[in-house]
Amino acid sequence: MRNNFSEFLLSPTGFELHGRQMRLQIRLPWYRALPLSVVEIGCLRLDGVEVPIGDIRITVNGRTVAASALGELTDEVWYVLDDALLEATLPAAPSGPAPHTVELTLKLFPPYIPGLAWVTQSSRAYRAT
Amino acid sequence: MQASQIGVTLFSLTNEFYSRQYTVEQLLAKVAELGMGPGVEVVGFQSFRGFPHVSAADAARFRDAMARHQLTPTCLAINSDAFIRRDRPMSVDEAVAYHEPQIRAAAQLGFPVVRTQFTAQPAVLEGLLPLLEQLNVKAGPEVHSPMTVNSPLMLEYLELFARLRSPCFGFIPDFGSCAVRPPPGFVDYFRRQGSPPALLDLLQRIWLQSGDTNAKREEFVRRAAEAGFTPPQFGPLTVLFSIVCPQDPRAWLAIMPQIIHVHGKFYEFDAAGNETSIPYDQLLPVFIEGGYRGYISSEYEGTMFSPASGLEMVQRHQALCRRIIATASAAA
Repeated sequence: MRNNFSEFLLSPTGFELHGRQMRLQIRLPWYRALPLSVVEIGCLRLDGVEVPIGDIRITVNGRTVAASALGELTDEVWYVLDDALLEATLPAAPSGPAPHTVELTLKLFPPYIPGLAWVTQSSRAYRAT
Repeated sequence: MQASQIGVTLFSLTNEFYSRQYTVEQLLAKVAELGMGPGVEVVGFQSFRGFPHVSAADAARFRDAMARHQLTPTCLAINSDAFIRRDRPMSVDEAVAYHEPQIRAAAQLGFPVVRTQFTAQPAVLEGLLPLLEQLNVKAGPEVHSPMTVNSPLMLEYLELFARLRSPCFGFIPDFGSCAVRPPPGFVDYFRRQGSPPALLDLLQRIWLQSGDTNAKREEFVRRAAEAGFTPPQFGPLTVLFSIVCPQDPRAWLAIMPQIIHVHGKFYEFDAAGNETSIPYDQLLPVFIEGGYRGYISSEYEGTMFSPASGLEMVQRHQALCRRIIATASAAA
């Protein structure tokens, strides 16, 4: 589901692809800062191929963690204007030429709205390597 | 009521801020230039990096900008983040400790009022009272959808306030809890996203029923699933029950003396300049009748689904409020 934050989720700059290693910059799709414990990487795909969650790392405030460990980070706060760095090890180097299409689904659980899962989807084609 | 009681929250300008077009200081300058104040509210976790810890330099810069533009700090919207841990809600002691630095930040930044949320139980507010009295800051739970004046939790707050009789406690109504229909733009947005018409019809039908809003949310989820719709289809629509619910505008009269601030929530306007889902022509006269003397923040929340200019939307909202106040004053 797209929402008003979808166009910002994947930053137009900062995309890098070297073999099986991919880096990109993402924004928090919400109006205020949130602790990483309420952030979940739902699904990340490059050219339609899903990256296992265990092969994704995220860097916020200079601290790099496994995407699968976000739920424990109650004290690390992602500020609403800051980019986070997403790094992924792809199952295989993409075979096709650029542009490469990244699709990302990110889930937020705003900690003051019990029961709400805020799901933001976005995709972007990147030319740069 | 005076038109000068209509102020603004920088939350309304989320699109301008989030897109990095404006800094907080530039937004304050714009608010002053466009005459949206003098009352200004901010969301702590939005406007200040590192919140609730605000550096002395950042606090001084904010206070200087407010003074330079002749703006008045009205309310700091703080957050009652009871569910930061995914496995269990905060205990009362943890929640008190979570709110305390936010209240200190309010005092540091010059805000006389903090907005708390219904995820802070009455026992949490009770635990905060010594600090509130020490810093001379008022705290008010926001009466926001799905909560209304008659919700069981409101009775618990009222009992607490009656027992402690502190001038530091009050309430902050959100006008989204007096909606008469779901915002049409919300429904249109999901229709354009491909939500099935039958699912949107079900959503609107259940929303319009009388009864508890949480129960209606549960009924919508149950009936949507029974009708064969999937969680990815109906899940995002449930946010409607978190943003707006129905309530008689006159319900506020029962707590009017305890109202310390107001969120003038709005989404969109019709061709005549009226809000399409929230009856300002009924709400503002209730506050005039009740003798309300505090601030009302223009609070634009269309930012969830629309890239519209918050600056433009707030100007339209304030024009509507001024027109209603002038008409009601002339009739009085």
